[in-house]
Amino acid sequence: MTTVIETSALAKSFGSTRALDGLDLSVSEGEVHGFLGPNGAGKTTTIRVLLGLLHADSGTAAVFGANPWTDIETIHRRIAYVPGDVNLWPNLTGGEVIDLLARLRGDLDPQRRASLLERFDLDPSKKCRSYSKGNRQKVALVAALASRAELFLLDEPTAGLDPLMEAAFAEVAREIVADGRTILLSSHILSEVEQLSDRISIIRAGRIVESGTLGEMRRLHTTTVTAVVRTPVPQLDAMPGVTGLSREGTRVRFSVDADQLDGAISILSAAGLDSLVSEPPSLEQLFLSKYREVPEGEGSR
Amino acid sequence: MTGWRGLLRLAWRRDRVMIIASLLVIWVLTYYSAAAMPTLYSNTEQLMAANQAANESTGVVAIYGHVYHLDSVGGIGANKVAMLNFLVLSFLVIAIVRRHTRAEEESGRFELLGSTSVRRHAPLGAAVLLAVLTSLVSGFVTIPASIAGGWPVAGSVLFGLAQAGVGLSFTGLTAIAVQLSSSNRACGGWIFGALGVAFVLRTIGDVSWNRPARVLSWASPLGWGQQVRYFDGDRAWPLVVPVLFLAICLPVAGWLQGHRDLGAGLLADRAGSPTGTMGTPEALAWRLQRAGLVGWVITFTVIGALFGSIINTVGGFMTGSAGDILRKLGGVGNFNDIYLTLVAGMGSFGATAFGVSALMRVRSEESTGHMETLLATPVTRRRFLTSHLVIGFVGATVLVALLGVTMAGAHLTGSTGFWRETSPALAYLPAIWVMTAAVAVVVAWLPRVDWLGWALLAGVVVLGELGSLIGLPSWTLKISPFAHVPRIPVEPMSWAPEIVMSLIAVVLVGLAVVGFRRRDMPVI
Ligand SMILES: Nc1ncnc2c1ncn2[C@@H]1O[C@H](COP(=O)(O)OP(=O)(O)OP(=O)(O)O)[C@@H](O)[C@H]1O
Ligand SMILES: [Mg+2]
Repeated sequence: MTTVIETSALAKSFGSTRALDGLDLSVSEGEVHGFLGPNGAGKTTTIRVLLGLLHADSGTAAVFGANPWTDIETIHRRIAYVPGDVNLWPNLTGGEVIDLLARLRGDLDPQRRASLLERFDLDPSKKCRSYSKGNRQKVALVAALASRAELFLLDEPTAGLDPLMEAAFAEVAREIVADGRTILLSSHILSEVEQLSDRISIIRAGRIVESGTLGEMRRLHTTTVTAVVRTPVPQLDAMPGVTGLSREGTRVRFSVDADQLDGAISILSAAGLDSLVSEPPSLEQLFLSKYREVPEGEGSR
Repeated sequence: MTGWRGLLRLAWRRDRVMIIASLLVIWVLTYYSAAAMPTLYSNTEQLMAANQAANESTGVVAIYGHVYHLDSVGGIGANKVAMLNFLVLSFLVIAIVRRHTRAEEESGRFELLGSTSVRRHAPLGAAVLLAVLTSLVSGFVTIPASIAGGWPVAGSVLFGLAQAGVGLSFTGLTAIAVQLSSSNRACGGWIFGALGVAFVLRTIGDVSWNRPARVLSWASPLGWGQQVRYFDGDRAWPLVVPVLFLAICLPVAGWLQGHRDLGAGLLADRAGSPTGTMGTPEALAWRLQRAGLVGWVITFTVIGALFGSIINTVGGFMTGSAGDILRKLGGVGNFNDIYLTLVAGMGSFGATAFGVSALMRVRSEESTGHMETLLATPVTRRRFLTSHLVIGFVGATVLVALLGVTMAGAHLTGSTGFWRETSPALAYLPAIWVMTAAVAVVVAWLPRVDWLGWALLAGVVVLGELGSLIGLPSWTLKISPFAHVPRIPVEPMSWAPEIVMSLIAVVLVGLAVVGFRRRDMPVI
């Protein structure tokens, strides 16, 4: 399989902030590559380096095998980008922006544009300044997704979209990869990345701490369970996959890996349940469990 | 008005550098203008001759105002520094009110505030309060500076208060202007348009000081300040006008604000075209800048025609000490010719301001995030920068040419030749290009201190307008490219500096392009 994006030991500092700290990212052709990380992890910085907007301090980056800092024109013809913070010219209408970006890229396709406008339920005749945040996001999405680009760099593309539109986006994204094109999808929304991505790279503090398919990632999943039980549940202490166990009177709280959830719940229900709350795994917990797994001084750091 | 106190503190924190720097400029200008008077005119005869000469030069009156008593101690010197102070303060209060009302609304930060206890009028209230306080403080720092420089106490007090009044008037006008449109830029257009109209109204009023049209001075907030006639009759009663004006403006602004939606303007947005025809970065740059340029073109055409039509009223040759004084104010020669160079000099500052603003647009495109979207397409950095450079250079050139042409064209009888009267303005072009290119270098290499772009303009204006008046050493004056422009037709044309400056401009443009291609983007 062809590699579309390849970075190795990429580093970038802003003053004393080390935004990228030896980033090795590899994205293959025809996949949705989820790019997950908490705020400030370096997602946007990575994408800006790939776009040739930022110059990396050291390390190498290749997009379509070319240098993103020097081969701007050739690379950009094949790329579509949705910035993390969509800000459009307030005096232009959405339609004008979409057409401008298409013409600049040299691939205006009126039919594709019309169908996307309909799917995203977007009125292109409004001035950008009067769009709501979600609608502004849609303008940027339509502009990017309407193109014939081979690589889509999407920085938190569903920020501000309602669930219906998120679904519309997911559908279009699937069509695009079915076409053999590639999407780098940056996000900190786990569920979105989960349902779309073929492979995921998790970035933390400027480094990729984990990279692989969803199946490989599953083991990182933990669910937080809070329960009020009638009798004590000492079995949990020794149970594999259970972490962060705390007790407060009859209340117990712990995190449990996805594959052990079933067992843990049966222990609780056998003890007699008064109440049970389970929270889906948040990204933060994913990282926390990830970091607990990696012994100090080994692996990522 | 819950929350206004916090907002006021926040506004002050964000603006204090700008406010303190501007007040310092006002203070220094005032002190040195006053202190320079005795060295310029050692006795009353010289002073009277200077005031007389200034009154007889329509160009001077048109820009700075009429001196009503020839023995006025402040006289033309006070009029000159007062007009500069008025303009600096007006720009300052306009910036303050816009930044904390419409600009904030546009950036969406009010939506954050909306969830706290900030009431609807609190941001406007805080912005107006900061502007009013700034105006008053500017007045109060001017008084001691003026007295310390040697001007009479009563006149100094009135001067300071008149200046505070101008600040109050423009605070009120801006408070209304920011309600009109949903775009901060369009609101800026309204208020700077109002400032331009205020200047032109008092220009007509002042040159008609002995004719009925003099009432036009009273239609202008700048005129209200001048009509206090500090050192020149000392009248306190016109000070009431700006206070009343502000008292009327504020309820109007509050009412307007109460009758519109957050983020919207009174003049609603119309639906636009669902498709676009633009397809190049050049077309986009033009689209973004054309409204501004059209405003400048209209202003320059009006000013050129206006100033050209009054050339004949200047007339006569000057002699003796009057010539001496005028040399200090800018040159010697035929009155008409001096007038031409004077207007061309002012116009060249205006055209430079356009060039600066055109290049600063690159920075605002960058900090708003628009540039990132554009540079992610196959548009190269060089092409993007060039698109705005072309607008800056061509726009400034067109403006100066327009000024020259309309001025010469409006001078119907007694013209000394169309080309001869057009060329004084054109002679400034190389200097304007150097300034525009220098700002491009700032944008490319020093984006974090991009205010330097405007500071460069302010610097050369101060050097050119007041440098010799306040007795700065001559080498400092020569830093400004405008100092090297031949004042034709008063001085002979000299090509050497023009060619050298043009070459410098070319080099600076090259330097800017290199820097722009090398640096990280966006720098916010
Ligand atoms: N221009 C800049 N100047 C200084 N620091 C910067 C700049 N851009 C990014 N940083 C810093 O680099 C780090 C990585 O930022 P980046 O924007 O790449 O994070 P991110 O993963 O996109 O976060 P988010 O999820 O919040 O968008 C942060 O600590 C940020 O503060
Ligand atoms: Mg980001």
